[in-house]
Amino acid sequence: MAEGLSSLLFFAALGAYLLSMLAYSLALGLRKGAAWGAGRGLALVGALAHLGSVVFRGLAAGRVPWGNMYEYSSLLGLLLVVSFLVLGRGSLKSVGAFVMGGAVLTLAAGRILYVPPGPLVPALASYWLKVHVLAAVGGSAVLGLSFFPSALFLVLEWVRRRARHGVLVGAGGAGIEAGDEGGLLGALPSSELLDRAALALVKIGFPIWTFSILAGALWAEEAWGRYWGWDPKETWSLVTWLLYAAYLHARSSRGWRGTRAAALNMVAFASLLFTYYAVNLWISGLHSYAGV
Amino acid sequence: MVLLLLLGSGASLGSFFPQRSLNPAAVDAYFLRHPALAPYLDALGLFDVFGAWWFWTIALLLGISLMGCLLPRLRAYLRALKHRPGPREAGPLPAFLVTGPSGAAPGEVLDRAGRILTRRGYRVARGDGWVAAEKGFLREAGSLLFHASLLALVGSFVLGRAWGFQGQAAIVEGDEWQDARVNYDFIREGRFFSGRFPDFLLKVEDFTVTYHPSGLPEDFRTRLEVVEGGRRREVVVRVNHPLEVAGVKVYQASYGWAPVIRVSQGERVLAGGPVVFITDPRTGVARGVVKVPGARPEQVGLELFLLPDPQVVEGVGLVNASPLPEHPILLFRLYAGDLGLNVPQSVFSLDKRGLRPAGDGFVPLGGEKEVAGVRVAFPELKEYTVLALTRDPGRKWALLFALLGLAGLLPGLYVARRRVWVRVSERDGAWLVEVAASPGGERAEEEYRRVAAGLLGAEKVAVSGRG
Ligand code: HEM
Repeated sequence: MAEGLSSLLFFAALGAYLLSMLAYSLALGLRKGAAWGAGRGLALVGALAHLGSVVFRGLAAGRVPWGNMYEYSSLLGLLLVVSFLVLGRGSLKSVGAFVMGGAVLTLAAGRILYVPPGPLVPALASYWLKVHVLAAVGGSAVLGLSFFPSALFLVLEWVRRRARHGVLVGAGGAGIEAGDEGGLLGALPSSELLDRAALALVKIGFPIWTFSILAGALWAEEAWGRYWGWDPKETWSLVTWLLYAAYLHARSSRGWRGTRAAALNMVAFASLLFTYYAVNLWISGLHSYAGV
Repeated sequence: MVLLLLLGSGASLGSFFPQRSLNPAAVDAYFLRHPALAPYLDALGLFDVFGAWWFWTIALLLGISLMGCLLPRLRAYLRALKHRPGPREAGPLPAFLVTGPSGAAPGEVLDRAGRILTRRGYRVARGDGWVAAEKGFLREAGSLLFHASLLALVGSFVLGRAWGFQGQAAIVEGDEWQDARVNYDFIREGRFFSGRFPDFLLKVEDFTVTYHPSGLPEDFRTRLEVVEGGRRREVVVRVNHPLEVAGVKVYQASYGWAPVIRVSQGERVLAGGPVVFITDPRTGVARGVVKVPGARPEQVGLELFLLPDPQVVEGVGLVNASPLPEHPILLFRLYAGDLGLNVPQSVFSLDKRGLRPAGDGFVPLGGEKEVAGVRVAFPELKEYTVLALTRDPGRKWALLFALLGLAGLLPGLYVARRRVWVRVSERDGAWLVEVAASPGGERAEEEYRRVAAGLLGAEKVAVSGRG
């Protein structure tokens, strides 16, 4: 019963996110206030349905609803949307279409890995584990969110450079430049804003990720008598952590800005994705306990 | 930063190649599949990345550079704490600069600047014609705490490794186990471990596994009596619920079947007692070996298979249906000849070079069976529990530094260092007030603007210079 309801709400959320993505895309093109509002409203409705789905999933399984890849992905999608709605108010709304697209992909990928609700193996039934996974998913959501402004930054830089190039090369180029500034490019936030937003998000996500790693080590200590065993998931979460630390360093000590910083953020994001999916699906370790 | 990236890519390699420490069998398989490549990879340490010299060299360099930048930063920080903020040095234009004429006298303007900045939490110093203010020391303090804790955390791991030990012991239900080196089935002692085991006694009362209806295990628990320094207590060790005794933590690690097997010839009992079997997780069939050097006229060895819940499946044969001991039976093959015990060998396998098969048989629980003059009885089925025992003197420190590091990280990331200078000078017979500040984000600029507005009046401050 509860599982049926959870699935129903899951698909309702998926649908709402899809519509929200369309509304945000439309808003980019039309630059109408109503379209922005519709995107945000649909995302909110989707998030509420999604929250219901997660809660019923927990009831169906009789435990916290984060114990396998499907559940992680569902929760990740939810937290991605929620952190976008909370942190991305106002100026970041222009990446809404991409963020909602990301949420749709996350949910779809999660559904492919669907398993019916069930109990966990004993090693996973731990207080620390609950904290660890929640922080890992929350940290991933915020760090993942920082991917969007950085990616958009790089795309915009590329488009602008091409447009500028066009001005030099031929007469048609001028048209592109002017047209873009008035159209799509004008609707998008300035590069500087995107750059700063990505940094602000990493600054929020990094401590959460740090905490997750520490809680995970405490859990490993509780379950196996060792904090750290270099299993692939542990290794990759450390790699990801080092990359985001490198990003923060590059910005604060080396003064990296713009393209270079954004590119480093892309690398860190790739590592985050790898930690999240590839390690569970391709490489097995103790963490593959959780199954897929 | 380069080192951070290097260490990261090094560590990631460790997840692409099978690691000896995690899965030695996979490394052997890799050698078989890539016989030409594997030795080179091995020479580079790719099968043991986290033990390889280059990995620890990068880690060490990172540690040294961390230390190398921490000490000067700490010194600079302490100096900055002691010194009062000074006037702005001449140089390039500051990131924030607002100037305007003032109707009030210089002393009054500077008094007011001091009050405004103090109210906003700045440390303020006043000189001849200027006020300098600074806040956000918590950022540097937090950052320092974070980096120092990171270093100390790694130090705690090393300390725990070097001065502690990790071991495993399989104990059959009803048996007593004394904490001493010889009684461990596996032990890894740290380089500086004193070699003094705390010498407690564990008596395993019983071990139980409970299952979900789906057949998935729900919980493993070992009921133990602990005798330590003359005191006894009853405890239960479960997954995620370790026992702590005399500085050693005892974890539930694994478990298996230990059927009691008695081997006799005529009236002579040659072997008797529980035998530790190893269960194949895929089939649920457990396998064990009994060696009987005292048999006549030749030595005999038994290779045994335990099926806790045997079932005949059409077209397949005998399989094990569940981990529950419904009708346990032992299948065995008897070997006769020379066991080859003059060289050390595993207790879990027979060295068959000097042996030949002498007959097969099976025994249900409580029964016995005679094959080639050797009687095999199976009076009881016990379980054994595998406990992992670790001593890690770095544990408390690791926890402490982890918490300190986290506590330092937050102000290190979020507190911003802000400096403001106010100067009053005379120009063309009028008083000119200049408010300058260090670079900062939007919120810092907002604050600077308010400070300036408090001194110059709101309308002047909309125009801000950028350097
Ligand atoms: C695993 C190693 C390291 C991690 C995770 C790490 C992490 C961090 C973080 C999160 C910050 C704050 C960034 C910010 O203020 O925006 C920071 C700042 C800093 N780190 Fe590290 N760090 C590490 C190693 C090092 C090393 C080896 C050095 C020295 C070479 C170093 C030097 C600095 C400096 C100078 C700052 C100050 C930046 C500022 O205040 O703006 N860090 N580090």
